Amino acid sequence: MFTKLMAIILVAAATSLAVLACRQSRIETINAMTSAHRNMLSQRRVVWQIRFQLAESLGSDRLRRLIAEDEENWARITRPWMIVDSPPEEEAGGTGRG
Amino acid sequence: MVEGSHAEQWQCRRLQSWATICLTLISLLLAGTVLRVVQLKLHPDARLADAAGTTESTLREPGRRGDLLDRRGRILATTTLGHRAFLDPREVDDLATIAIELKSLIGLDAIEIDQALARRFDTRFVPISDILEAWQVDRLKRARLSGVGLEPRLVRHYPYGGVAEQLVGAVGFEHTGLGGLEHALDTTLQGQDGHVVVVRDVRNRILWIEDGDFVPHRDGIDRTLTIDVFIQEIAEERLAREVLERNAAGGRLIIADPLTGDILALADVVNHEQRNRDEVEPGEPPANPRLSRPRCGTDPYEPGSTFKPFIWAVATEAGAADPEEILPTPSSQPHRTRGKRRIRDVHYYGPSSWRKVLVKSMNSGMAIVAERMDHRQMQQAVERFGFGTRTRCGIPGETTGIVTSPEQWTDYTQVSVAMGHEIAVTPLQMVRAFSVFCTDGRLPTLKILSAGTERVSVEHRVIDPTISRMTRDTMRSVMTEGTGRASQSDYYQLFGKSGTAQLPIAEGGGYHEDRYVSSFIAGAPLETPRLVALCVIEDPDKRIGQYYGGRVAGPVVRDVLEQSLSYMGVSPDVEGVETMPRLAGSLQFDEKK
Repeated sequence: MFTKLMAIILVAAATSLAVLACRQSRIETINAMTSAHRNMLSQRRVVWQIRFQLAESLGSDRLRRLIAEDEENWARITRPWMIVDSPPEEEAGGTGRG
Repeated sequence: MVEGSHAEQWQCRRLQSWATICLTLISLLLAGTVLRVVQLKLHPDARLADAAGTTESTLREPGRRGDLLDRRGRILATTTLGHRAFLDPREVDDLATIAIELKSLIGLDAIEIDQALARRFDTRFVPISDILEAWQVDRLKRARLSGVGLEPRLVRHYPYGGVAEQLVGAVGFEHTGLGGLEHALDTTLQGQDGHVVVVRDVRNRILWIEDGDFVPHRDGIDRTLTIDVFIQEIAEERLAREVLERNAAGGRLIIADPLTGDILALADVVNHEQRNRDEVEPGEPPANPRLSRPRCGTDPYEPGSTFKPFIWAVATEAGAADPEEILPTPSSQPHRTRGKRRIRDVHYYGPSSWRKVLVKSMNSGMAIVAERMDHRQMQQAVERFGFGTRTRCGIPGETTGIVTSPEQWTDYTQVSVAMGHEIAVTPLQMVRAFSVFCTDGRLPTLKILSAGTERVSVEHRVIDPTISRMTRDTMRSVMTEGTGRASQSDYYQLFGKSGTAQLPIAEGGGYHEDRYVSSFIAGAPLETPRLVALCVIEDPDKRIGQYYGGRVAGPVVRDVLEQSLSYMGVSPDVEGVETMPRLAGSLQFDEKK
């Protein structure tokens, strides 16, 4: 009788421990999933920010400033029919006849 | 033997008793534990209530609003996540000093915080700032002030600043479109927020998410426009300069690709300082341009002589006149129509060919041929080029313009329309119609949203290809011999037409004597047109100088076409010109000037 009783108690205890372990594992999985999800969302927001900063950095005004600051290192995109060696003043003059 | 059996029985009973006692104790213990758990769960002691139970919290996942991109993928409007600060008065340690603390920490206005608190003291959410900067958010997070929270909010940015601002429009504080394409495309741009309800333990760790408690967010869809930011900048800069130089009330400029119908630039300038804008009260701040209507599609104007090529082409096709036919145009005084209406020309050239009528923009010649056509022919001419119907290019609030109905069409209308009067068109309609001369007679479908969207491009032939080409060649002569001479390009063979129409009196009842709408429309290059540009300058100041379309709007059209074609890599087509300055590349030289 005692043996049976002990066996029952041990089995019940073992089952409870297994269930608890399962529960803990489930909680940890949920925790990990949620933090991964939140991390993903947070990275996504960083991407938004970088995307905006890139767009802002490539705006015409900023490009103008960058080119003016470091003109020697900027290679011009040229077409065969474009004059590339004339002085800047002459080149820019084409737009001001209005 | 009997004694041994008794001892065994006694031992057995003893064991049974102990077992029963143990079992009862264990059962009681288990029951007690279960009851305690139930009690803690259902009716915990007030002192334990906050710590013992689990809590639920809802995490919001904002759906991102779609970006607006130009035709090359450059971002015109985008969204990031910002934060604004709020207070929960119940959680704040010391309400008397929190405002001062926040002022010293992130520079917020202490008085405004106190006022906000006083207004909404009974709530648990008191916003105390607009969108904070990154350093403010960092400091606030590090400070961990009790009762001070950060509310995430979507923030809309326009990286190109004021470029195409009227077209792009704006969003409100709730991130919904209020004006321009932001409003027109709101349904597709708008994302849908998601949320997740999480169960947390006392240490705020997430324990569980119930089925159905996770609703994923949905991001809005990015939309690509046909606009090219660079061409748009060229157009806006040049138009603004002209409007200011001419002290005009405003100006509108469209650049489009006639083959695809893509609108590459759409500029709209209103000069709030202009002398005649009586409707603006002194001191009244100018309206937010992002919320103003896109006038290129909404506000019709009288096209004047820029309308003549359409009637010229249709009349030629119908056989009402031959290009080389000499018409009895007057030598020195106004022409009189059959109805005795006096038709004045700027210059009187005497009898001239039908071709010369267009080149020199002679009203008398147009009137003579208009009277040879019947009303139905003229009405069909107007209809065929799409006047009186919306282009449906995607620009919000587009109007149909004003075309006289067949019932009200008189002989007077017949002659007026031939000269571009008694009809009002939108710049969009003009550009679409003019594209017919660039596409061998086909009317393109204008569009502001790039291909790949739900819009289907439909084209239909409006006039015969030979007539289209003939009209184009005649308009080339306008640039070399006619009213467009001042607007000739040294590099590209432009073909176009100028127009100078009197400004209608707003209250009705005729026209201003000395106020005009100057316009110019042109395409280039001549052989394979790549671009069409229309410029409308409203009410240029006559005291400053010229007001004729060929002198005021023409140079604008020439300059934007030259720069845009150069930017697009289109080689010059003027005979003998093999090279040209880097007009579009003037980016790098602006600093030096």
